[in-house]
Amino acid sequence: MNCQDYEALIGDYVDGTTDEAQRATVESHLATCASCRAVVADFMVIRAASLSLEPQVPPSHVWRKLSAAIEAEPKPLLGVGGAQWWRAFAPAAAMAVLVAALSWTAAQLTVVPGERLAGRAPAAQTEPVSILAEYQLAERSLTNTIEGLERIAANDPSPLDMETADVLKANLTVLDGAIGESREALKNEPENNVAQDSLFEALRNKVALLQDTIALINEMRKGNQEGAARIVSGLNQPNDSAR
Amino acid sequence: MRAVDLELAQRCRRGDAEAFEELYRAHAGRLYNLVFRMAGTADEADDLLQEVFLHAHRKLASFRGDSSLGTWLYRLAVNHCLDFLRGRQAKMTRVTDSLDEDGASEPAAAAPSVPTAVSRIDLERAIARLPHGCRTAFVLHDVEGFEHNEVARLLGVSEGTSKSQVHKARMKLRAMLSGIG
Repeated sequence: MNCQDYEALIGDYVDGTTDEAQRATVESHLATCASCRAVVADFMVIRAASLSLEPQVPPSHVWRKLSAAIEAEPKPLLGVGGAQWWRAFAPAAAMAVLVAALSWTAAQLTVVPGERLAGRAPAAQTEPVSILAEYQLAERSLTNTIEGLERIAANDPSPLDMETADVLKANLTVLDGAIGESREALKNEPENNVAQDSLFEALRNKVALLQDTIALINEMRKGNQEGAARIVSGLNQPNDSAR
Repeated sequence: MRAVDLELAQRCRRGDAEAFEELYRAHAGRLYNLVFRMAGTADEADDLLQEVFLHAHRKLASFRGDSSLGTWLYRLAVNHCLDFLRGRQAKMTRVTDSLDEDGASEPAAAAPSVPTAVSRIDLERAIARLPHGCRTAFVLHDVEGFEHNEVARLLGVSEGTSKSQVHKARMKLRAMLSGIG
C-alpha cells in the first residue's frame, strides 16, 4: 500500500472512528512515514481548531428585515383569514421592532452568554425572554466541542509522558467536578446566574485544556521539544490551564 | 418529535407571530453558524439566514413532524446554502473553477506544517476560500460535528464521498494554513 491508499483510513484515524485493526494498520504506516505523520498532526490541529470556532451571532437587523418581509407576504398560513392574520401579526411585528430597540439599550447593561463565550461586545439582538434558551444553546455548543476534542485527544495519547498525563488528568478532574456541581445547581435553579457563569467558565476552561492537550500531542509527535515544553509549563500553572 | 416542537409548529401555522419569533430565537443561532461558514461573508450570511426563515415560514404548512423542527429547519438551511453556492459557482468562469478544483492548492510533499495554534481569523478565512463542494462537507463534519453518515444524508451523497470531500478540504486548508504564524 502507498500513502494514497491510507487516505480514507487517515481521515477516520484523525476522527477517532477506526476500529482496533484499522488503527494498528495506520499506526504501523505512520511509524515509517514522516509525510503521513505530518498530515495526521496537521489534520488534528485543523480538526481541533474547527470544532472550537466561536459561535457566530446573527445581527439584530436580520430579524427586523425578516419580520418586515413576513408582514409583506401575500398570503396567510393554513386557513387563517388574511385580515385576521394581519391583525394578529402587525402589533407583534411592531412590538418586535420596539423590543429590538429596547434590547439594544438593555444590551449596553447586560452581557449575554453567547457574547461572553465569543469575547465580543454585547449586541442588540438578545431579548430577556431568550436568555435561558441562549444559555442552553451555548452550553450545548460547548459540550459538543468538548466531546469532539475528547475524541481527538483520546485518539492517541501515547506521546505523553506519565507525569504530564497525570497533570492533565488532575486538571480535567477538577474541571469536571466544577461542571458537575454547576449543573447540579442549575437543575434546581435553571436561571441561577452564578451557577450559569460557573458552568460556562468551567466548560470554556475544559475546551482550552483539551486544545492544549491536542497541541501538546502534536508538538511531541513532531519532535518539537521546545514547543512541547512551553505548553507543559502552561499546564502546570493552574491559572493558565484554567484560562 | 418533541411535544414542544409540535405545539410551536401548530402555533406558527395558525399565524401566531410570537410563535414564529420564538422559532427564530430558538434556531437562528445554530443556523447562522452554518450559513456564515457556507457563505463566507457576514453580509451573505445575513441574507441567507433571512431567506431560510422566510422559506420556512412559507413551508411550515407542509411540516408534518417526521423530524424535530430543528432538524427540519437545518435541512432547509443546508439545501438553501447548496442552491446559493451552486448559483454562485455558476457565475464563475470555467477557468476559475478548474483552478479551484484541480488541486492547484494541494500542498507540496515537503509543505511546512500547520502552526499548532491556528488563529480563528486565519481558519475562518481559509474555510471561506474552499471550493464549495468540499467546503459544505467540511463545515458539516469538522465544524458542525456531524458524522459522515449524517453528512451524506444531508447532502444526498455517499458516505465515501463525504469522507473524500472532507479529506480534500483538510488538505487544502493545510496548504493554506501552512507557514502562517
